[in-house]
Amino acid sequence: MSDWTEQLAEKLIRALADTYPSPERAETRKHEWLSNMDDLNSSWAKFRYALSCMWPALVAQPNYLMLALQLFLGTFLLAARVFVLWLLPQMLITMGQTMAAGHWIDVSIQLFLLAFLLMALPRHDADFNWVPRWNYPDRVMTIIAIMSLVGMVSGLLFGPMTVRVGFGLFIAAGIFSTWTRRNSSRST
Amino acid sequence: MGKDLRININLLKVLSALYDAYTTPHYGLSLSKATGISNGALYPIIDKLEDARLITGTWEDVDEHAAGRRARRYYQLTGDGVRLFEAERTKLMPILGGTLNV
Repeated sequence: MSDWTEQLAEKLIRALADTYPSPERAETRKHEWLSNMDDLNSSWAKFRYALSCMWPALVAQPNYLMLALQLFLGTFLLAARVFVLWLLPQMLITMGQTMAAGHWIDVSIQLFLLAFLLMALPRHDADFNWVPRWNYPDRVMTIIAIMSLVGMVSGLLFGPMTVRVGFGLFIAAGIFSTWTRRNSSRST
Repeated sequence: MGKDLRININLLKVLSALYDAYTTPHYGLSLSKATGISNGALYPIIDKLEDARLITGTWEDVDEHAAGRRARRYYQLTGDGVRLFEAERTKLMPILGGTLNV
């Protein structure tokens, strides 16, 4: 419990410091705030300290709206990561149901997605860096989380076909990620 | 000194704490404790003071592995900082009734 709170606090500090307009000051604040956090004993004190860094990061912005947007997206990405951890047992349950009375395509898709997620989760955070050319773990995690959410909601409305739609989204995410990385490496 | 630096009580508290601890500099957390200013309010002040070159920050020379913690960033007043604080203190102390000393 305390371990993930501290990790979350550290991530929050890194993310907030990175929003400083000056890269030098961003680096300085990042190390300084992490160092200050080391002095605090309880994990909740560390988390509260990380939250308190929001205001200096906000004040340092030339455009407050941009930071609000970044904070919103950061929170969304974090929620997506947490959601994926919850997704695993959910997939195991639905896989069992699909195997019992499902089409072989649905079973294969479920197995593929499960294997993919299991390989991504051995470390502290979900990390897709082991996939060649797939260099956007956060984006991928978000897409998977959205896919799962859409799949579950629409599954209730439209039936089991949504697993296949979800798989299509998954492949689209891979293509999009590879394509954008290729374009960004060309432009640099 | 920065043109848009507004002197307020919190800014003077920070200058005062650093002035009083001129030989033993403060780092962020100790400065927050010494002044009673929350971390959220402290760093915008530190940013302003650094921009105005009234304070300067230096990293602690410590073996992070042996110490079991990251190096701290210590702050000290610059010459301009000392001069500004002494001038503002003289002006404001009668108004504040000696509440500046933290």
